Amino acid sequence: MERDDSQLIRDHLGGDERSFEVLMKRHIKAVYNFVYRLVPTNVDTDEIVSETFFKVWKNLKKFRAEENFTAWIFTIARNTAYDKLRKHRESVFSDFDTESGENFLSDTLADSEPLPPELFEKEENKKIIQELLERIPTAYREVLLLRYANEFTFDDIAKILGKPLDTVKSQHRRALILLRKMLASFGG
Amino acid sequence: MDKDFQKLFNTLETLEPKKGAVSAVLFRIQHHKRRIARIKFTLLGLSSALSAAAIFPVISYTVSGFVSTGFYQYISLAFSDGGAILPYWKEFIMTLAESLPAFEISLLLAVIFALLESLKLTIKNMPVAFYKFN
Repeated sequence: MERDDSQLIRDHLGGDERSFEVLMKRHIKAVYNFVYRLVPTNVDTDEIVSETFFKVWKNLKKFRAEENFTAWIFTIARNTAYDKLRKHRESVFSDFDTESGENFLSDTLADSEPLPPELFEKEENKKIIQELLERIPTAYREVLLLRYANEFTFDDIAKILGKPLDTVKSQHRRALILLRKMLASFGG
Repeated sequence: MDKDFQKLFNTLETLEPKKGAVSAVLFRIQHHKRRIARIKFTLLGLSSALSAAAIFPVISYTVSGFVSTGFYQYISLAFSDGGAILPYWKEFIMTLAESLPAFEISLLLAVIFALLESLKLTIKNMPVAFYKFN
């Protein structure tokens, strides 16, 4: 029977070295994809992921069993990525942000029309979607990645980002509006 | 609206981490453990050496304590004239207890304990400190 994260953590803290390896293999792909899409392409994703899991191992004793373990790992991954970006003096803000932190593309009413089906069908559109995602402000991008690529709840996202729940929901709404506009402007 | 965007994100390519990513982290962890073990080995080894060096002066100090408090003389009396002491054995035991050099004995026990603990932990850290990576 496959052990859940809590059992693996207990086993590891009890002295079973292999349990941490199992934990890592279970979560490394999701973390890798999150970090890869969060940071600019010239930043070393492998190094950030390696540093993340090293920190997870070092701090495993501090993890509280009632918390969501996946959300905890993503918190560490996100903070590690931001530390790396700061070291490399990489901008964490988009060209679309104004000095006051507002984004002129996102401050409009939400459009509730469904997205055109061809977006999902054409193979070449996948690459374009990836590129559009890279152009979205990092603060919005991470909300979208956590919500849709990793299916976290807004509560978990708020904990991972260290932001109030209302802020996360607001950023989520703005991110969707911005992404929709970018998709529409690309489609012509 | 949410379902559409969920579907959109599902179309994104799922990337695989670089081959050996897990092994690289495990190697890093082993390296870190070895470094910590080496630091502990060095400090505990030093503590063992200092405790061992302190043992003989402390034993000597304890022996002189037994002499200066009169304990040694009282014990000698028990062996030389036991019959005279027997009727007063309770008082004799009390006298012996009172003349024990408590501080010197405590110091000796502390140094012995420090030596044994340091040795135990030094030996415990040796396998990890000198672990050879493949």
